[in-house]
Amino acid sequence: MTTARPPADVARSGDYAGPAAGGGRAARRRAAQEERRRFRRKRQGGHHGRRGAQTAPRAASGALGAPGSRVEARRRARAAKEHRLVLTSRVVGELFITLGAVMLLFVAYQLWWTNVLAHKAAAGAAHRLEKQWQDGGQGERAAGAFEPGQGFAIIYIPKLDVKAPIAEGIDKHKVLDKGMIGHYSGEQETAMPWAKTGNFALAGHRNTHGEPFRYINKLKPGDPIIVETAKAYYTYEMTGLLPQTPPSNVGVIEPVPDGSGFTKPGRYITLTTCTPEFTSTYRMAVWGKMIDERPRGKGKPDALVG
Amino acid sequence: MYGWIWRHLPGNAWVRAAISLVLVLAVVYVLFQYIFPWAEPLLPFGDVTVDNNGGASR
Repeated sequence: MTTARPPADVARSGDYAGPAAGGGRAARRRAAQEERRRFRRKRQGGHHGRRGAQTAPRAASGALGAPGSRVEARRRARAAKEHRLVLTSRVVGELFITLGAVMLLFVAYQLWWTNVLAHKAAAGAAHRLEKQWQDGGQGERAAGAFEPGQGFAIIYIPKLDVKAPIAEGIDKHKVLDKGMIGHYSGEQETAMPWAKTGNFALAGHRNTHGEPFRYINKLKPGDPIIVETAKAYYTYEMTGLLPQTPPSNVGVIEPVPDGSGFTKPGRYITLTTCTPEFTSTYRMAVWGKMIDERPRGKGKPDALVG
Repeated sequence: MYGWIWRHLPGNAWVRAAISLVLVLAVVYVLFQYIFPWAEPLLPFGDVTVDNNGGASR
């Protein structure tokens, strides 16, 4: 802006050769040189400030001491000191901004990217299972015969539009973080759907990594939950929900779960996940009881057709 | 910091902008691929199972 001013003044006065710039040709040349020198120094120091670079030469060409005088040197020294302060504060500021950006990226990673990866992995696992069943692969085997992390069933919750593979074990890395549902096994062995009685207990992510169980709190008694295995479709009916319980409450996955309202052994299903959303403070449990067992040969159950 | 990087990149403004973009993408890739998966278990909203000692999966 300031550089554009002198020509504008000149144009207005209509006098090109006149003393429009005030100081004469020598003074102007000196000012220009000074400006160039300053500009170079500022660039080296990483300093911005086009304004500073342009206002300074005016002062230098003024009455206050010639360039190179002691006053000017002192001023320059002070300016250099300021530079260091400005420089450090800028680095700190940039680090903070970077930290903020990284945190935003982390949120994006958690809320979006883990789901992308998990959905892909889960869809792949479900597809492989279906193909394997179509090809008439291995039939049902006794509980415990599956490798940890191996998918063996697909769960459908039509109301929530959930379709996810179920794998053996509740290992976070091998099962849950891949968008699959984990079947409690090993140290916390629970029944398989085809067992005569028992509780088929599952765990799944509420948030991130596919979040298959995100909305299980919206299930109402009577809502169907279907488990498809190599040989049959098992249809469960949701019966009850425990909104909040401590993580140590293993009673919820017992063969006759505590607090479920079931009194006799039967063929039950339990879904566990964390609550409230985005925390791991408590666990939520959803229970259901089996209402139908349908061999694959007879086709899909009503709940999946309708 | 960023000004320093910018000044030390070769080429004109367009080349520098292109290199900067590549650098940013590389940083994002490293974060998503390595740093965030590592940092994730340190945050507490992925525990969904009930267990005896209450802290096995934490």
